[in-house]
Amino acid sequence: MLHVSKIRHKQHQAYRWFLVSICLGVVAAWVPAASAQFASLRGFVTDATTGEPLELVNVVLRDATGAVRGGSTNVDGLYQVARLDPGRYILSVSFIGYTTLSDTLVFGRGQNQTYNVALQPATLEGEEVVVEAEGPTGAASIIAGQQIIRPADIARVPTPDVIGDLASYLSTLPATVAVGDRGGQVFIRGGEPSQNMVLLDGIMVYQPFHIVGFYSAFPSSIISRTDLFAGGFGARHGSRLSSIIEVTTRNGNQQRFNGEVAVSPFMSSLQVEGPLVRNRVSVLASVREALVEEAVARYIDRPMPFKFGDAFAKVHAVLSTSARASITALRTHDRGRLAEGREGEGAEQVRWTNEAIGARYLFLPSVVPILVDVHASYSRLNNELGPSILPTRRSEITHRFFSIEAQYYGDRIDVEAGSKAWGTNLSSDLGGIYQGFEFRRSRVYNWGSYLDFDFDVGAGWHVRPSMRWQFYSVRFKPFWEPRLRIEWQRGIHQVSAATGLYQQEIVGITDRRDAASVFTVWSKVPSENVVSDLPVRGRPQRAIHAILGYRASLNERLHVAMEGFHKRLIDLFVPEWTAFPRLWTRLQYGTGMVWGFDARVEYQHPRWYVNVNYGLSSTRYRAEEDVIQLWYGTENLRYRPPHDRRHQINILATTRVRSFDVQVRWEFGSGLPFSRVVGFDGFALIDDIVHPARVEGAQRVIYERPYQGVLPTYHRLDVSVERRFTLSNSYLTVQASAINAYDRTNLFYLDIFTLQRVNQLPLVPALSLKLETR
Amino acid sequence: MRYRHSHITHFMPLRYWGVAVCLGVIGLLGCEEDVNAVLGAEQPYTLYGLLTPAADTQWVRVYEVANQLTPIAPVPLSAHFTSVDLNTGEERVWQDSLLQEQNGSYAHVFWSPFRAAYGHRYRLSVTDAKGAASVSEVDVPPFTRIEIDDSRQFPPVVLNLNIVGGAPRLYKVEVRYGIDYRSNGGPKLDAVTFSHGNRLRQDGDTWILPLNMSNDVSAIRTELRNLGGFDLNVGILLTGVTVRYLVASEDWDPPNGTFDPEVLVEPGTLSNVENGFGFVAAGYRDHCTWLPPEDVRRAAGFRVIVGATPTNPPPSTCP
Repeated sequence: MLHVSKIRHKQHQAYRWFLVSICLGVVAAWVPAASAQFASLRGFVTDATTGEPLELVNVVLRDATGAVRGGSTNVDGLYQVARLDPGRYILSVSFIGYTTLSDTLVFGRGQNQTYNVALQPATLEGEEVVVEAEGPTGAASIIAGQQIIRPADIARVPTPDVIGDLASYLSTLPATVAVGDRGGQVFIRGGEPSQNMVLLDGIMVYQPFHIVGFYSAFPSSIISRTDLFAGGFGARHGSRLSSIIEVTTRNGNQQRFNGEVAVSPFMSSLQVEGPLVRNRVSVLASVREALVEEAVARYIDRPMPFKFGDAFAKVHAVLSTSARASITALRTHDRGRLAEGREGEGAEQVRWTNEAIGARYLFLPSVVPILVDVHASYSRLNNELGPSILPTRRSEITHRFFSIEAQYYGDRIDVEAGSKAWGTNLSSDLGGIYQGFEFRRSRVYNWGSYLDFDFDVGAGWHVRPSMRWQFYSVRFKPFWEPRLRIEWQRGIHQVSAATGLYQQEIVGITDRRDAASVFTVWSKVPSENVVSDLPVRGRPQRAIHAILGYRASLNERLHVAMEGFHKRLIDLFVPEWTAFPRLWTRLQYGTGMVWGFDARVEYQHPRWYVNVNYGLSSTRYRAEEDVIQLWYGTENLRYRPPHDRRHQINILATTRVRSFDVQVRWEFGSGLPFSRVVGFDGFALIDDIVHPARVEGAQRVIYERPYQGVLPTYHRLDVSVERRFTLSNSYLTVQASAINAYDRTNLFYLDIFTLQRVNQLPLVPALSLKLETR
Repeated sequence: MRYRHSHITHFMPLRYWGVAVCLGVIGLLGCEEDVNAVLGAEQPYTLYGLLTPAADTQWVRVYEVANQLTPIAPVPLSAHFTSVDLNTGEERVWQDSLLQEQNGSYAHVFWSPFRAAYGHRYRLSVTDAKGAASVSEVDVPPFTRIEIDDSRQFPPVVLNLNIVGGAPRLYKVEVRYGIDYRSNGGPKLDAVTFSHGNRLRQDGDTWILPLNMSNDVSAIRTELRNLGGFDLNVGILLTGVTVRYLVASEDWDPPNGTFDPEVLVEPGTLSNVENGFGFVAAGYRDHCTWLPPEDVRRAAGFRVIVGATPTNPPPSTCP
């Protein structure tokens, strides 16, 4: 009885925290906003010719005394100027490449005015001026782990087809480790793929990277901007240990229909956008399908058993002057052959499909000067491994999500608050035990709220404390996750820092003995009341991040950035070793430690662009199970996991020669760790008075101490040359490219059981075409 | 002409040298780097087997430590397998036999027609063509017997089962109660077995198993009630008690006393092979069956019919 009453007491405490946290969130978001004596101005700024929102537009209000108040637009084109004294103001809305708009506005007491602006592009002697949003963009523009990636950045990377892709750009960053031109996995600053959260317009996409490493579900032509948080992210995001990749897509042209079609030996694509209701409802749709299996394999005379593709659609609607809504949908499919299968079963394959759909409603309430953002989404990942005819292993995760968030932009303080709830269904059919776990169906319900302040404290200081409190299903109590981001800027110098606590309840279980492994089973950490030998039950996996960065713009063209980072990973699941020659193992409890340093130099000239970056990183896992003592004679075993790439160098250069755009990229990565083999023998379990001939024997691998070996270094040169031709009512872009231009034999995967090496792509020349309407 | 020729020979090679160096660098960059994935083992063989006085032929599996994971070929292994009884000096040469596993693969199992002697030490040597040998020395446990101390005849009834003779280790200690009872339907059990290995204690050369029959009767009642159909009013007749156990050699000692293949498969976890891998165990199984006296059975909670003995009582195999 005493035990039951203690549990009840704990539950009451948890409920109390739950209610208090809701109240705190609501009050914190409301108080700065609801000051009745002040007026406010807010609205959306768009491009008059397309209806697309314009980001980082300067909005300035000048009163009769000449005092200036203002702000800039966010990714939705939204601006807010709050706490205005009643009176007359001159409004000025300006953006490079657009005609500045001026107007006079009069505010009454407590009046919240909505004023939308459609800026006209400026023209110079009949030439259209093409300007992308400026601000913190470019390879060297990293602020405490956050980097903003725009389509123009992606376009600089030479790829085997004329349509750029976010995955190609991510692989040029020192923060990310990709496994090469095959794989479909991205490791970010020591974090594993399942510790990254990828969001498409706020919708979770579990495995968005295609099986050929140049491609993800995100072609650059649909992207408005991407925020990569390599660590140290604020409390708005949670339930992931490592990083956030947040992709925001374009809305589509509201004025007229445009389309483009592209084809290369790697990929074919079709994209359409245009108004369903002019100036009100637009659609943007893209379909891509890989051709590598049919085309590339044929002319490099080597099997390329990969099939993948994606389809994306977004409908965006302007509901009123103060409300916007959108629906985004995505479907991807990937299939790769791993090995020839047994007769009648088909080849060993890995397959996965993502399905995601989400709706967003964005509105400006008339009574308070805040922006309210409501999201609802559904996403699903289906993952299969085994013979093509009858896969032996399946794993599925479905995710239902709802959130309501509010943003307030004040004079020297911005506040974001929100509440998110989601339910995750996990189901697996693994034909037995996988990694020591026998999976069944399970459901996980989470709820979390956050409060994020941005204080402009003067003298160039910005301080962003934030707090997330979240309920995980492993234990009914609120888990607090404090975060802090600080920026200081003076002159050309900018210093930034971030730290925070991060937790993750869902675990992606992969055979991590090899970084190239793609098949992932999603599960949750054991709950508090589950009988298990694991010491981590009832606790989500945790990480503590620390980042310190320096950035300087030495002149308008030359930018340098350096950033050091540290991640401490606690209560991890890491694979146990096994001497059985099979591709899965049991899991064991472990911890991790990541240290690293990035250095970036970027030179931007109207005709030249050069970006050189170097990444130094060290990831160490520590396995702590009892058997470690038995096997290795130490209480715990520290080792380099197979994604620990120590050195990375990327050089990206583009130039324009006559009418040709030339892009060159060289990448270098030091070798990844792997476990060397001493020899192969057999094993028979003698556990009773048994006849040794009647015991079923098994083959065995005698390993050296784990991860003592290092695979060869990886380096590659990619080159592309492209020219755009203007036709009567369209543009034709022709691109010639060479992937792995000096035909380096880079290792993708070494099968230590058969000693067969699978290499990455050899020299692959490609010619690609894109036709787009004018 | 001479001057022009001289000019060409002086300057053109430099230009070509630059191109050649670039091409050379590119060519070198494109080279393939080898991966040294298999270090190679000095140990020639892995042995898994068992010496037991309970069989008239001894068998040991022999695996060659190879540099590649390839199926074992169905050809004789070029290994010379001998054993020496270190107590008597008797030497034997073992024979190779090829076995096909259920999964279709092959294995070499060496054998020799002799019965391992209680308390003797054997040296097994497997030598390859180059003279490298993997050697295992194995102690066969001494002969043991059970002595039952049933002097305590009041509840709770605890009998001491003494396993005397100096067994180095005991595993898989089980007590099986043969039972009879009236069932009103449903499945009927004829025996209930308990694993009581965790109750063993050692006193010199003797292992003592305190057998709490009263507790076991309660557990049997619970089991039968859970099964359904058990008539509580009639009670349970005991038809016999059997104690079974495995006597093991000193080094047959898995971590935590558990034979977990995922742990034991790691080389070196349980091994007594020098210059090789694997483990050769030695031991035997023993058991005894008896029917405790009426007063003991009654005191423990079994039903006893006065003057009657259970139908077909087991012959006592205990000394």
